[in-house]
Amino acid sequence: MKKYQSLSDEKLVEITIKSDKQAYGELVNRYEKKLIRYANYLIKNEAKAADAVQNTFIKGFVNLRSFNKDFKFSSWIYRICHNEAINEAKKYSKEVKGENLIWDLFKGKSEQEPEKVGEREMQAQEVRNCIEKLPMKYKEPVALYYLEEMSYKEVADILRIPTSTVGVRINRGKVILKEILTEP
Amino acid sequence: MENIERSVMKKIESGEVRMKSKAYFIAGAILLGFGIGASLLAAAFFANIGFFRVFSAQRFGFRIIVLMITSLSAAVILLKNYDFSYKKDFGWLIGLIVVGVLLFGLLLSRTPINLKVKKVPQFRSLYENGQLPVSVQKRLMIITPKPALELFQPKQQEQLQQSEQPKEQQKLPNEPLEPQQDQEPQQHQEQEPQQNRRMLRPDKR
Repeated sequence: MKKYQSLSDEKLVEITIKSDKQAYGELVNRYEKKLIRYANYLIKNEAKAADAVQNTFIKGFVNLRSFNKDFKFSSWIYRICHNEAINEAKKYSKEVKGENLIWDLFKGKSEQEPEKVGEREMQAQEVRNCIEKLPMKYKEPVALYYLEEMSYKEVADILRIPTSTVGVRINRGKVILKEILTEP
Repeated sequence: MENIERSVMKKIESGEVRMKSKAYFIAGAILLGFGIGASLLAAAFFANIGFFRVFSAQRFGFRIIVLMITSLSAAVILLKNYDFSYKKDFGWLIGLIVVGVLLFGLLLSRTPINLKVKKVPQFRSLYENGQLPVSVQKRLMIITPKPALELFQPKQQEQLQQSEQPKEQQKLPNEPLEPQQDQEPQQHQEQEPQQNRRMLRPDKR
């Protein structure tokens, strides 16, 4: 698997389709934790999030030939994960409070990479504490932008909304977050 | 939690999960394009019937509008599968499509195509009373929820009452495309025996 570590996602997709299915394992390895974190956001259940991510990778493999090279693989796989997680969340709409993998994962990441702790990290810290209270409409773009550190375009591709709408929702989400923070 | 990578790769290697072929996606793209085209054509066709009815001094028809909106909605839903649906301003695109469909329908209604289509038994009811053919209605009755059907029921009853009335009353006013000259002799032929009967009655008495 080491031979694939230096290759880009899109190149790995090409290799998986053309010759070696093992290359897909590297893609799974790269996105597994990120997708679980994101799915857990939407489902709020670690086990269900893991199921959703497993289904995501299986669906991703089955439909790999439909992957459009004009897009980033990350946007494409996140889109599948988003749909899977939403479906899963609808099925099991009960909210599990207290059990929250996302914070642990994020905490771990921050400890491993202390050099990245900066303004953005501080913003993320604030966002993390209040993001759960946001309506789903704002939660999705805010989580992807601040916590998954994606660009507006990537968020737009995942949520299939215009880039301008992403900006509006993130800004509106920030305003709501501020209101939540200033609440007595 | 089981290792996701391991379980996914196990399924792939065992052949339990297989990649779909390129032909599958090409066929899907072709079908999608065909579906969009067919929905738009259907919407334009219904608009054409509506305009044709208006030019024949009838109303556009509630059912025609419903059918047109349904076809347009189907086209819009299918169009949403394309990436430009969220990259571009989709509202404008929908507006353009609606205007385009109405214009195309208007143009079609001014062509002689309706004279031919009107003669097809399946389409006659659409032109005459804006109603789908009976065979299609029966199929729709199975799949349409009851509240939606109730919307249509009062008008259906009216039509049933109308059908019980004499044929001459059913004929819609100002149907310019019907060759009226050909009908006149037939009407005379039908009326003559009645007149004869009336004339004969006093003699019988």
